[in-house]
Amino acid sequence: MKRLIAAALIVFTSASVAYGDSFFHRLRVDGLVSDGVTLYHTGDYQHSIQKFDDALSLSSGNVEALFDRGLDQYALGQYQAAADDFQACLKLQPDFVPAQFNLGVADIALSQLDAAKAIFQEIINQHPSSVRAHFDMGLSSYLAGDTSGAAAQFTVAALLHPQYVQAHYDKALALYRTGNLVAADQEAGEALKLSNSFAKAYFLRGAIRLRQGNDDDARSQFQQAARFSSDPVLKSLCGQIIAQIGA
Amino acid sequence: MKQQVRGAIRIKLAVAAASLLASGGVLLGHQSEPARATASAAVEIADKALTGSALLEDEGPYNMIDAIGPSGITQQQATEEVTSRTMIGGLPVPGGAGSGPYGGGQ
Repeated sequence: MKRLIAAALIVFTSASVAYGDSFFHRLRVDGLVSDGVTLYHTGDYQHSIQKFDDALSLSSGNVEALFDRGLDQYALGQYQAAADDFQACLKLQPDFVPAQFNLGVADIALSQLDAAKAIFQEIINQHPSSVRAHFDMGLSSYLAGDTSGAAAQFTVAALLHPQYVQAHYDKALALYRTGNLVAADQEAGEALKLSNSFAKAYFLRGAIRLRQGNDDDARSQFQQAARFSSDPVLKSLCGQIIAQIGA
Repeated sequence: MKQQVRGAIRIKLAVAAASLLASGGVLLGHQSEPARATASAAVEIADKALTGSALLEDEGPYNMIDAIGPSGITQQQATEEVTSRTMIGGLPVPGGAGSGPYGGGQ
């Protein structure tokens, strides 16, 4: 009986030590990830990366640390490193949609537009109502030169979320590029209804008015764009255009 | 980062404007040119600016799905951000600070 109790005690003690090690190890990793996320949110990306590196040195398969480090890399403009981290996440957890999405965004930044489109299409196939996937599919298509395809994707995004002002504006821009000025004008108007200080939308509407031969209204739109723009280059462009239109 | 991105956009716009002025103005080709076939410099300047990606709007700071884990959102919440039919967490501000390679800054 005594032997049995002694054996049970040994087993219990060993298990407790092992569990304790595991518990404290997990606690340490979680602490590092938590610190990394806090630093990321304050914009201190370099120190945030250090925290995630430390977490990954303790737990190389930690999906959270890999994912979050990818965000830091992206924020620092290190798009390939970001893509590598999101890919590493997907190797560990192939169905992790946020890593898939962020990989698509990193691919856009890397101008790997076919890869980005493939990712967003896959997300759309599985989640047809994903406003973000449709919007980013639109961005990918636009940047790839497929303005009609982009307009279609922005249309879906705007239908899914009618208050999504960027979707309306980008749709207007894509439509302008296809030469459909009437629809572009309507959509730019939708964007301005949602955000009446949207300088780029005024600029776009000014360009539409110019092409429609309405110089007076074009001038007014470019004046509004210059008024609301905080970008000196865009302001300067507006000034040049207004000067060309004349009085 | 914001300054870098805005700087890049300004450079793109400045290059667009400069190349246009240097070229003496060549009307940009469109698949279906709108009715008024004007070659006015005003249209050229506007077109040049609108042809590149500089005036495209991205989601700014909402480009990426946010950090997960302790102090961040859960994996489930991150997944819902991707799959939702609306923008969860609020809409980005037009022309807001972009953390991506284009968009932002107006």
